[in-house]
Amino acid sequence: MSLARTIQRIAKRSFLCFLVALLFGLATSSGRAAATASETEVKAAFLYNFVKFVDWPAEAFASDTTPFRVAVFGDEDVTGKLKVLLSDKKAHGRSFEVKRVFNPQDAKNSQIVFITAPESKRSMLILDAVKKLPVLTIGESEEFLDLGGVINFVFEDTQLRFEINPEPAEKVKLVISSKLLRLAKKRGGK
Amino acid sequence: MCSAAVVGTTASLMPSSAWGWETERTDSNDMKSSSGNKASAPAVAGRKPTNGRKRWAAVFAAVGFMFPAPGRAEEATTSRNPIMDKTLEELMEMNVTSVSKRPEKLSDAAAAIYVITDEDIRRSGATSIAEALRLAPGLEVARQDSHTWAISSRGFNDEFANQLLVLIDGRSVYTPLFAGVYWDVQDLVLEDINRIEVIRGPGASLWGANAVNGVINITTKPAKDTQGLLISGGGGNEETGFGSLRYGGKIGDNMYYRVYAKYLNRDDSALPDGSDANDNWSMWRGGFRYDWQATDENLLTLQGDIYAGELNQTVLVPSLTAPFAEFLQDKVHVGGGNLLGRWNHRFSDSSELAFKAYYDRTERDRVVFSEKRDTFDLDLQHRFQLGGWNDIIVGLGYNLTSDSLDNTFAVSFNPRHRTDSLYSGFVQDEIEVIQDRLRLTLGTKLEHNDYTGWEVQPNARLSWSITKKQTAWFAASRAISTPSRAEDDIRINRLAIPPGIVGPLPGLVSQFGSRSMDSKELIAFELGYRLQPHDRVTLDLATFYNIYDRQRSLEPGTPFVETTPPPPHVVVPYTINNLIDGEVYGAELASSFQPTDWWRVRVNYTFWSIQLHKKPGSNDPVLEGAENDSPKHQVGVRSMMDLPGHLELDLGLRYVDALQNRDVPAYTAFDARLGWRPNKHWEFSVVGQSLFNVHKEFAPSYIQTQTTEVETSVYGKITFRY
Repeated sequence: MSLARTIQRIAKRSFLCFLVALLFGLATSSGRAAATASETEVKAAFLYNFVKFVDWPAEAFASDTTPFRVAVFGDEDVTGKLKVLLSDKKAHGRSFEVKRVFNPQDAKNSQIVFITAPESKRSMLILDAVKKLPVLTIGESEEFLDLGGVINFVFEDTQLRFEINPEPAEKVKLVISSKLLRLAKKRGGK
Repeated sequence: MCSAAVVGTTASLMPSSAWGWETERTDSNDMKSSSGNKASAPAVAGRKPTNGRKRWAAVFAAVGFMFPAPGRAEEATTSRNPIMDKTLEELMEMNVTSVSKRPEKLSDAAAAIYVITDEDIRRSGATSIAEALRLAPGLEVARQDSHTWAISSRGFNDEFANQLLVLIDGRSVYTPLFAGVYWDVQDLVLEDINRIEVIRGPGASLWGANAVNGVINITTKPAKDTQGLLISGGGGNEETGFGSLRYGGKIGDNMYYRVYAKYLNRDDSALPDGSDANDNWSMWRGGFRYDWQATDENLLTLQGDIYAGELNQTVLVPSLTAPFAEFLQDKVHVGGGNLLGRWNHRFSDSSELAFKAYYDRTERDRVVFSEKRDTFDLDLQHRFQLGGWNDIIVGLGYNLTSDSLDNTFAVSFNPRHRTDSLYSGFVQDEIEVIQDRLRLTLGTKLEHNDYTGWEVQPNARLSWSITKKQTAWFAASRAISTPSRAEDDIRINRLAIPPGIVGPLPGLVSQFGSRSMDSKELIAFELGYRLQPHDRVTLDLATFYNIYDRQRSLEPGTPFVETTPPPPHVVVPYTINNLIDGEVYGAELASSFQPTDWWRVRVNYTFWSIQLHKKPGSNDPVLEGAENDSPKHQVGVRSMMDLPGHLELDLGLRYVDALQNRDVPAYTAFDARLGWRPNKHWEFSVVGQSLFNVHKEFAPSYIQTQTTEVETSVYGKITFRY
């Protein structure tokens, strides 16, 4: 039984350490990114990969050096994070510009539109605004693909997956690589 | 592709043009503009011409909104998050910490449902299914000794709690012997559990009899999601050694499988005086699951498990000669196995058929009795939509269970063999009264059992989505629990009295089951409300008022003289009956907060008030007291933090009120886990459970094992995935 008591003593001491860690964590919380991947970080990484596996027609850009423009319909937090994460990244030789937008019309000059879940009720309006343009639309709502979106995030338990509807992309001359299509989750519906 | 070395820097140096997105794209010649006139829409097809002033206004607005916190721009220089270098395949394997995955859409189920995810289990440090259930509100989870658990929902808890239905992948795991669950043999590789749904309140119209106070529905992951190797193992002072090995593979394009083996060994708990309770135990198990997506419409699953274990226990057994009671050291041998097949067929998006069949064998050899049982079960369900607003499920089921029991002086059954069958059918219609707003669910189960004949268990549920962030629901149900084999046929000799106290002969207090036992009835009313006041906060309140009738009572009978076994003795009989009724009401609150992306907090609170009454004609001296078998208040707090350096810090606290009838004082238990996941292959963790205090959680009733205390447990665990 003395073993149990020793363990209790150790446990008590480690509890204090936990408390200290907790306070430390709180104190340093602001502005410090967590080490484990948060949802937004993983989504940013996915988005970056999507761009790598999609070819845009040349006329989608003003010049060879214009960056990819990512229009985000979502809150300040998400936009800020995407901005940070994509700041030093390049795909197809282009860097990224991330912008938070409010008006669907403002999405028109972008190559990538990300409609986050809280904004998903406006999906139809936004998709309608860009449907004739070489814009890769990314969403995260059940009906996103049915509304004409191209890529939709879905959760499978704690893991993030995506589904693709290549049709609207083909119409605007976006070429989605077969690898991306292969990795996409098959839709339950059609 | 194109060389653009300077672009990265220019973009951030030219905020106004960049954020205003003034520059216009080159025309796409092949793209049809909405006007149909390519030349007239050189900039952006369909875009309205904007005048200069408006454009500048938009720029300022955008800049203003973009930079409310000037600090943000500086962060850009410190980014370099390794996650951005991961491939899609790697990303798809990552576990994402999030609350928003059970997101905008609050559950609109018209039932008190709580889901324990695989992530919750991993981070709780739980080493068994029973322990993981401590995460759910509205359950009472108590460890009686190192391997025996008493788990119930909304009161009536016991080692032989009989009003809770527990399913693992659709296989019912309670034993009809006492309609309760032997939690010691219910185990899996915990990493393979997909989720545990805890549904409090009657689930009888869908699940059938004995789903009276709740249903615990455990599902394992499809074999597709457990590909590769998983090795985990560890040990500590109480968890003296455990290890699991699982391998998942693929055959062809659409067949996946996994096989696993698991071993565990647990140390003794403590007696109140601090000495070892001699209830250590060990268990082996192994199994497989095989999923074959034969076509898009057909999914076939075959799965099975086998297990064997040895559980030590000390039982107090009466005897008719001096010393009239003795402690027997029991080595309980348990073993069993099951095989389950499932076929899902999709006719269309709105029509599905599921067929399930299983066989289950279970054996338990204790010093006071032994049980061998074979169960066959068939289940057919068809789900389809009708008229666009009806979602209908109809089902048919057949269950056959056959047992063979061995008797002892302390516990005996008459007859020793019995085979019972159960036929059931159910229908449920979920009606969308107002689209996306109001749903009405009507359903009933009709079944025939060998104990009480026909039983009808209807329910009605209404779910109202007030807004996207607010749901209210109401339910009224009738549920019954049928008599268990024990309630029909058991005799327990509880206590021997030395001669000279009740007369010249020794006395024997005995409890008898009764064939005239009727089913126990519950009429339940439930009212719930869910709210998401903020993206990072959810609240889920469930309240209930349960009216019980014909609950189990023990009625004293006329003493009689019995000559076998010798010496002759006077039996003081208590016979089981249905002469208790009562009301139980309560409220259960589940809440979750996510103050930051790396910190989640869950707070649960459970309040129950139980009143039981003897009906006229009842002289039950004991079971009315069961109203004090459950804690009035329970609080659970969990904090899960993702700290820098791939560390996870998880803390848990639970408070459980006193069980006055069982002489169990209120206790507070503190758990902690520190995990380190340097990469996706390795996970190291140290877990402390019930830190700082040794406490009692429950006390045995029918079978007189010893009351033991839960000691502080500290263990380390290493998991390798590849």
